[in-house]
Amino acid sequence: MRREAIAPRAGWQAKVEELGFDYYVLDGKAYWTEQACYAFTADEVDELEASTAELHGLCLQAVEHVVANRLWERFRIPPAWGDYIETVWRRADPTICGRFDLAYDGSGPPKLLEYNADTPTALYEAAVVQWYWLKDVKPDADQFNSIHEKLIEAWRGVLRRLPPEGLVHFARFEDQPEDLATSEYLRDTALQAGLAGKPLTVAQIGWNGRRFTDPDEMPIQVLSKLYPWEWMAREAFGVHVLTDTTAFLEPAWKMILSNKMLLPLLWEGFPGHRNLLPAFDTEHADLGGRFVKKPILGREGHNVTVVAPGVFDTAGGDYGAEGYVWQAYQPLPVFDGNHALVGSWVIAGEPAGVGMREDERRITHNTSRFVPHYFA
Amino acid sequence: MSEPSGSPRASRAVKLVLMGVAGAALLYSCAPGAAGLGGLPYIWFLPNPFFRGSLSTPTPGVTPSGPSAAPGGALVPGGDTAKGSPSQATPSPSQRGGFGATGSNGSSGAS
Repeated sequence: MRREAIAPRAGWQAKVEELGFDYYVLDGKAYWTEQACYAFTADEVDELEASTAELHGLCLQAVEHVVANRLWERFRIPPAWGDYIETVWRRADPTICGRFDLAYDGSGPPKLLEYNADTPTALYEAAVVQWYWLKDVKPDADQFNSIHEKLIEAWRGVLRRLPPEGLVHFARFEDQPEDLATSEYLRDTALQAGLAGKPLTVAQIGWNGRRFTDPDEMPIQVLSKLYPWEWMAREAFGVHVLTDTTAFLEPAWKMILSNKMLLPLLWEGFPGHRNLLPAFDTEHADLGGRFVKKPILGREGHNVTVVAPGVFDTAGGDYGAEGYVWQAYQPLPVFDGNHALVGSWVIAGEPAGVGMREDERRITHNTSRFVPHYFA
Repeated sequence: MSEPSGSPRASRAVKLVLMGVAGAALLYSCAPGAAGLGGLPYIWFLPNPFFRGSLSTPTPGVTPSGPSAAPGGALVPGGDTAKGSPSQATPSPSQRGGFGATGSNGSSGAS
């Protein structure tokens, strides 16, 4: 695994804009960069793929453990939601996608940092934008990225469970370009799978006393939402989810996997596993003063603190009211001053590809640069 | 199923129907086939499509209409019946804005 400095494509901005990727600058900083790329070996890709499959398997066992033992309080999940989560888990409500964040430098095994299992973003750039970059820049190389095909196949699986008139609504925030692109890209792949899809904003979702509805008063049968479950559970309409009249993607059992309490639970269940880092729900002595403190219900790196000898970094934010977990500090590999993070995608339960993010800081956040990759 | 080791891992083709210039006309629009379904009365009686038959009793107090079953009608989640008549399908105007208050100043995504 290495980082290569390369020349950007001439007119690359126009090329990515043609794909509808117009948020290559976020908060005034480059979000997409092709002045560099990451190169992997085939063996490293095999390792990432196998580890991703292994981790997803562990996570499904963790969900079963939480459901069977009703660990709602530990996960800060409102107890009233327990029966609902168990229902959707037992009937195997389908999942479309999730993304592991992994620390990996090409030498040791990839280590799980967290699972963005509910509302993962950076999907479009991983599935499409870097694929077109590969065809332009490294046409003879390969890329660990079959996300697009696997998404279409995942939607076909949803289609098989819907009645002939089945319609999927796609909800997201109104003014966030990356959320819009992610939601619309999901709709794009759903249409290609044969589904009908209709977009709306989260605030446009209605409740008519019996069903969730769209602005045309059409009932919402299936809602693909780019809106976190832990927010929905605490908002005014959250209680109506429990009527189970609408199917959700991602399903509510993903609340368990997108919760940082997953990390200590996995370490308790699989201590010493090669893809896991020690993690606890207290500042445990085994951490030896080298840890990353993460909010149980946190997002985008907010309120994360890194502590190690000679190291301290912290990110502000409004999370942490529900408490924290402590995970052993695994430094990200640094290339040319950039901390590199592997985002490994899981589509319908299978490894599907990776997207690389990098940042000058140790804490990856929502505007950390996306950098394309290839392998040979 | 994972790709066999040694076979290409990149997508063979990436076609887009909504995203980008080619799909700009469809962006923000309703997809073909989606319009007009709300006019079909029976759609109001379709249960959660992932529901597979066994009754899951709605949480007390969270279903304004409550569970109900017309004579001969199968009870389904949310208090609707599988054999409702079109006249029962008249919906009341929806309240909106019950989702979206949290984090309205930023992305909902996980970086």
